[in-house]
Amino acid sequence: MHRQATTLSRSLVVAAGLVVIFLAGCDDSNRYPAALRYPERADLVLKTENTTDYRVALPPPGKLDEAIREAADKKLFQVVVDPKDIDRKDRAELTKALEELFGTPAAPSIAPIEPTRAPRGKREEAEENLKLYESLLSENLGEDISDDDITYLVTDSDTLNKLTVVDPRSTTLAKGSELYRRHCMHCHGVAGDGRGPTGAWVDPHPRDYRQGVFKFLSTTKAAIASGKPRKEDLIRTLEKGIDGTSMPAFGLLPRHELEQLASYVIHLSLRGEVEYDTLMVLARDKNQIGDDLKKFVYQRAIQYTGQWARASKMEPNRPAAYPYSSATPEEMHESISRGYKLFIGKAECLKCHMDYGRQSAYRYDAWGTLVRARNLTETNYRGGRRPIDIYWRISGGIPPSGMPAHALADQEMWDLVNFVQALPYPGMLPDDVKHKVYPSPGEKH
Amino acid sequence: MQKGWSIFFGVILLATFLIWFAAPFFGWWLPENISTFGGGVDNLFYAILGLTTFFFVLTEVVLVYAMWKFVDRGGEKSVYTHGNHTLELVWTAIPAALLLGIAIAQIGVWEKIKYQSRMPAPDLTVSVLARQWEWRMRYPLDNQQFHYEDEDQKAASNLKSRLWAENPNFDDVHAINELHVWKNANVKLWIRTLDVLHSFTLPNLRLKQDTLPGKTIPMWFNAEKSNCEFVVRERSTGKPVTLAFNSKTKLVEVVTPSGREPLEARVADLKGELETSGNKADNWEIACQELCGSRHYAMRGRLYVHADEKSYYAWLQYSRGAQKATSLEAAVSMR
Ligand SMILES: [Cu+2]
Repeated sequence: MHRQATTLSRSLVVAAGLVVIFLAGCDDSNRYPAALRYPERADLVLKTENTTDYRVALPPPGKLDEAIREAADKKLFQVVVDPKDIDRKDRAELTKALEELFGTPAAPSIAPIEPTRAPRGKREEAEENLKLYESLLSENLGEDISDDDITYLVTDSDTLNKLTVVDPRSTTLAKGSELYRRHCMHCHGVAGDGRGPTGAWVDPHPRDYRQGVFKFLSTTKAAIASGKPRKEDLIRTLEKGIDGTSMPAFGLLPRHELEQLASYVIHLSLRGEVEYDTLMVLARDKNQIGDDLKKFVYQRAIQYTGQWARASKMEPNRPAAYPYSSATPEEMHESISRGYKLFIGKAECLKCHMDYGRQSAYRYDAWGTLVRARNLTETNYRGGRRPIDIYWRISGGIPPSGMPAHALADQEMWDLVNFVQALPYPGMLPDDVKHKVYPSPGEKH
Repeated sequence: MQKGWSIFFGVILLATFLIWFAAPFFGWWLPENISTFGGGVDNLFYAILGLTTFFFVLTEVVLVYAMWKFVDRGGEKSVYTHGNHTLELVWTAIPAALLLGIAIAQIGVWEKIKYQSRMPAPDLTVSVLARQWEWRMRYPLDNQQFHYEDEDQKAASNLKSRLWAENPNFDDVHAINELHVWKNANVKLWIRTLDVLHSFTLPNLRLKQDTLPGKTIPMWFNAEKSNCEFVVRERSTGKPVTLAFNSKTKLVEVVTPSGREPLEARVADLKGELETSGNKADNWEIACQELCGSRHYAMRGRLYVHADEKSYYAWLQYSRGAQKATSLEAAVSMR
């Protein structure tokens, strides 16, 4: 009798324990643990020049770093730096400086924190960091960049409108980090390295932000030498996704959440690029740094912040007026025919988009992964399907993957856009062009 | 205290039953039904729920009672029985009869929803392409091409619209995770997948269809309630503009003092927006109900049922205009 009572109370205790565990599991906070630090970069640091075509097969899935290492061993990249070879002391100093500037995943920032917000006992150090940062600002940021420009970069409109928020910049970034953890981290990784748990398994691989370069821009390199995207460009990619890749669309998220995500991506990219660049210099040209690594890191951080702010201030590349708004079908056919001639001739599209992209060869992109010129007979466009998106792709190129920018006359640009848009739809092409692009069996192309 | 276990199980079962019973009062229940055939689905659901509840309670009461009554009384030997023909006949025949009853009762509803031969002529056709992890919708500019009055044309029209679903048109309107229809329209969907199995589910319509690689699967529904309206305003002043809708040609035009212009051509200086009640209950979800990969949980979309045909075509033609953007001004219109 006594034994049974013990069994009963024991099982009640177990049941209560299960309830506690169950309820604890329902914590819906998306915040990173406070103790988590950004991991130090361990994969190869590359500089590639993407001009050579390869007739190769894609490496097997899940082998991202192995494949990059293999290509590096074959001397396919211009510069290869293994972070393992960097002096341990320098590395520790770099990591410390990065944390001072960029914080942790749970408390991200893009500049040293206000001493008043630093933990007790760290205030003096924080004060020194901030002083150093501010002393370097005017010299490295550029006259054209104001504090408001930087605020725009790392603040969402919702937070900015709330007057009670003490520090809209870090509030936005902290919210962005929560959203990032929920929606992006499993592919793009904690550090934005494109090496989250699922990252290696998808093709094309998720973007690694740590070189500060992105593919789908509404500006040209001629206008923005750094090649940085506008914040709006990142937001559009989030909103629409990238058709033909594993990047889904987040258009159903509210606008301010997209802004928070974009700001957090900018933060990750800044941090990653400062790390990338410092590792490069440490390995190849240490004299450039002198004896103050920390100062060098701070300078770079400010310079890149200026680049991002400058790009986001920029108006997108404004196309010349579209000449065919009220064109007749015949005029449209003529434009498509002219576009076709440009495609196979002067604009040299066929050189990479071989057989209109059906037979494109692989080449290495800026991240050391294999990419190929798009198959334009399919109907998906990674950077957007609107004529203006295609205009931006052609005029600005896609520098990180080797697609060059094209300077064509206004009308030629639109002729080419019209052709590219009609290309996947045989019914839209004039007969002679159709026979060239879609030869019937037996016909030669 | 030897009867402790029967009390323990009795209490847990009672608690389970009460939680389940209380759930609807906390909003854990089926979302509002908005489809013409959803009532039939719900009736079947409640009938089956009633049946299973009855037998659940009955068997559990008998179980707990038996535990209580026949608990070990010390020194008494258990009696074992083998086979009772009558009893077995009864517990086989009753469920069999019930299952047969359900099978017959559901025929009408299933036929209405899933039989291709019973699907009505579509007012609107949409292609739904699933991929890891989103729903890519495609809308034809011209829905008249797939409409028919005469049942004889049904097969031909069906084939035509299916070919369209598999081969995009130049002027199709694309939207991601957004299914737009209008109230009281017969909607036809063609469901496909680019990669793995997904399950296209519209809880408010009581409608669900798995996607199978290589298959183009038809679905249909008719929504009886709307949750949005497309409103177009001047971009500069924010004033709503007057739209005219031709129900024959389906053309939506902007009415200005100087005349009429197609909405599609005016996206650069007009701002179109979906207006909803803002009520959470009016957010009608599209969900994937097949575990399809690491981001399966995020494979959600939104069902927008426009108040009328005019609102739908205004959205469609405005979106088409935005998709044709060739200037910065037009590029800011609805993405
Ligand atoms: Cu799915």
